[in-house]
Amino acid sequence: MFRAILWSQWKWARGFLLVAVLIGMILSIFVLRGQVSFDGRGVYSIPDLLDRSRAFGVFFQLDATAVGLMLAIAAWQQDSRTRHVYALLLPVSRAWYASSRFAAGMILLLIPAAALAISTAITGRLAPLPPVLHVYSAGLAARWLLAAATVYAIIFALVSASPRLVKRIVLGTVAILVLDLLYGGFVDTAHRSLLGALMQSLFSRNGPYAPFLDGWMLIDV
Amino acid sequence: MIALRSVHYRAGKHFAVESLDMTVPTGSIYGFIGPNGAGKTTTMRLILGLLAPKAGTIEVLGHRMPREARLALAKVGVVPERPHVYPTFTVDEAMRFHSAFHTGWDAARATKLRAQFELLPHQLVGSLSKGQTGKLMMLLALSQSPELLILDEPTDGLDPVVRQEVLEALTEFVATKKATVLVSSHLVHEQERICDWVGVMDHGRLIAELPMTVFRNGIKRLRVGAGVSDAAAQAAPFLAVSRRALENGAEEWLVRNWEPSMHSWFVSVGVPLQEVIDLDLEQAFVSLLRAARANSANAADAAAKEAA
Repeated sequence: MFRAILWSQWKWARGFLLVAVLIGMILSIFVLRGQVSFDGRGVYSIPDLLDRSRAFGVFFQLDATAVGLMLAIAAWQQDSRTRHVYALLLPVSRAWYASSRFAAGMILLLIPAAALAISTAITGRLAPLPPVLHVYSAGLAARWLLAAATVYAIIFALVSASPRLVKRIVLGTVAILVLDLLYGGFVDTAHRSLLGALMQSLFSRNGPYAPFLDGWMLIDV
Repeated sequence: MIALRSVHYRAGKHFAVESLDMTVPTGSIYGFIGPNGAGKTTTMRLILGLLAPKAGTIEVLGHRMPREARLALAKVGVVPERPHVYPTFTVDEAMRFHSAFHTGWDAARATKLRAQFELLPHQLVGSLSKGQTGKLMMLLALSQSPELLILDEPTDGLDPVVRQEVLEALTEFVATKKATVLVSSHLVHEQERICDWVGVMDHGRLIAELPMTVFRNGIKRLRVGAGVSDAAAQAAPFLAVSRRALENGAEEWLVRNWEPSMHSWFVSVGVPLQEVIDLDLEQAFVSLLRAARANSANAADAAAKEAA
């Protein structure tokens, strides 16, 4: 049964998974494009290459976000189109069905992550870099996978919930944040913003969204 | 096989299933008829565990719904009101996916039905015509070798040729597998051909549930002379569903459970029975609905007067 679920998600997602693989390959080439010479003369400018590597980190982040988002949507899109009737009439529990769809998406995420690791490793091996620079293909791919998985998990949870529940969660969150801002602005100005604390805990070095922050450099010292 | 007891369900402000008692006997083909909006689809969703009742119990193949839906659905083939198969699958992919979840999948039957229904294996489900989609859903439901088939308007909107093909496949399956079938439709003549039990629903209430032979032969319209009291009518061996005064002083009765020997009852109460009018199934269905609606309107009036 899980194979059937995995196969169905592969069928629905394979188009953009292929695009994601290609984008990963192109990005790894573009990091080095114009910065290194493959004719034996080596790196033109190490600072320029590092700047370019840092700048391209954003594109890897965007790629991971887009793949996580698309994969989560693909997991539920067909069920949404049929109002979940087919899924609900299958002789499996709802929990099993939802967790199988989630697991299938996680497995499919490994494909572009592996492709990214391989393509960046090949590109790095072919590029004649000076000994001071290193290619972090496995680290970048792991970071990419973690970020894509985080986006996938969040969007999957939202898409799989009922529209009413999503509306309640979003409205509740907005209401709490507005009240928090009003409290901080008019009642207790020394009050530490809840939003600020939340962002800090999410995006700090050990927070769950740390993969989205700096450090997405394919080539570094 | 299927048993609903005192089931209550409310959908919005204007529609409710109230105190629904319904029994689909094992091995029967139970026709579920009623006008559009009567509550047939809601009742089927309750039976399938897609909706949870506010009160009452629902048992399907010995399993309580919706709590044990997973166990029951393993033995139930379903053709829902709207197409439910993923439109991006091809016909073959839909069959393969469906077979993975049903241990009783009969691959030979599926292949045979696909050929019989002239479905192309590589055609996308989303590109199938309404008739072809209906055939595919019936193919999937029958090929899982279910003990129970629940079909919600399976031939609605199909042309006569396709309808015939679908019904033939269904009757052949039932004949060989001895499955129980619950089939809803507002095509009364179609139900008459294939069903041996019938349930009539209106405004969320089951107004009649009886064997098809009784429904077909036992519902009559009688022209009788005036003078039978309500108390006497209640003691009759048949069920007087409604009474209406005619211009010539006589009355027209709609009765259930009628048998020819019951002429003598009118003789015993001293009222002449002028005519027994046979009704076909559709006439009987419409008459029953009208009588039920008139009775509930009268009851509501009486309640309002009492309250005033």
